Amino acid sequence: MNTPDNPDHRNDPPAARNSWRSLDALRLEAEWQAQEHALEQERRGLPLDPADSRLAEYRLIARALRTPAMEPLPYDLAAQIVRHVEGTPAAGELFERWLLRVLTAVFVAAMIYAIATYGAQWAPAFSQLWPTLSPQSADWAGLLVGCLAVSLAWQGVVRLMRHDVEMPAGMA
Amino acid sequence: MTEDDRKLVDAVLGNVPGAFERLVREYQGLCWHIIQRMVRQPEDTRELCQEAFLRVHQCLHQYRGESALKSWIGQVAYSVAKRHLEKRRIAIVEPVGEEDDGLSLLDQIGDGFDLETACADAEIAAGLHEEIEALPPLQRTLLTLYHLDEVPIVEIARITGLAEGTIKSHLFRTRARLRERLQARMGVTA
Repeated sequence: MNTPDNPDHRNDPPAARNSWRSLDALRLEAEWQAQEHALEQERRGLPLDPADSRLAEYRLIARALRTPAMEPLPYDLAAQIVRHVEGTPAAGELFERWLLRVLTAVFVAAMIYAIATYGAQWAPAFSQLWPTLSPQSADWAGLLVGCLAVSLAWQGVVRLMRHDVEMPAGMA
Repeated sequence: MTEDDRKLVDAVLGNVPGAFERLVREYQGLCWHIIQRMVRQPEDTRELCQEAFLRVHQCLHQYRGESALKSWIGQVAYSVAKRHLEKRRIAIVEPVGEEDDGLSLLDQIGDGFDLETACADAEIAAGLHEEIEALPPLQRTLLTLYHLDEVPIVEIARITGLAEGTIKSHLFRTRARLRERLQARMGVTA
């Protein structure tokens, strides 16, 4: 142990100060040894010696430190950690996702620009491709589109409900 | 690094099924102790444990085997908890005043001690636990690593990045202070 200076002896002559310092060092060293001795005895489960009160006090402290009032390790912690780590994408994967988003945005912007610039020239050609529907067939087409919309909406609702069941409250 | 550590690290890096879970099971107790002693809140502890092991998983390829795997993982857990406290502006260690040197502490400790009363008294034990809980995060963590996890001082130095002398000094002062508080409580309850 490093022995700190005792402020009570700072004004003493050097020789006296040195002897005080060695006494202080001895005192600190004895205290440190008692602490370590108590720890060792507690680890080995030796009986308490009532004759040495300092050692007994440090034994009680060592005992309290070895049986802390801590929240116990959750039984499912390891499984939770593994799920968390496996569910977190790696750095390369994150970069890949980010790059994909940027490229998609560039592609969409280019598409909008091309439509805005050349759309007027293409529109007549596309409009000729649309079949001319009779009023009766237009009703059937409307019904078909309605059925498709209801079906897609129902699938969406089912998917949402499943998501809620898999992710309990507070986890989403 | 031991041969077992090397095999475990190679297995995790080689994506062997179940290897990472084995590593987590092996060191979750140490991480839990370090983080809980630092931050105390069970929910925060759980989240920070996950964060610590995520970092271990992402950075394991950087582990060179210069220290034990236990120390390296402990170091990751300690830095995660320390950063959490720094973000919340919580001091991890209380400043030591000039009057708070080891000798001043020893001067405040008396000699009288009723061993039988202390051993039998659950109130004394509960009081000691209260005193331990009231310690600053760093002191609490150092004592837990040294006493409960039986980590040697040299390994604690690697985990915390503190000098061995500093760790010894913290251990010495904190235990002396606990002894002084124990005596005060004995005086109150006797």
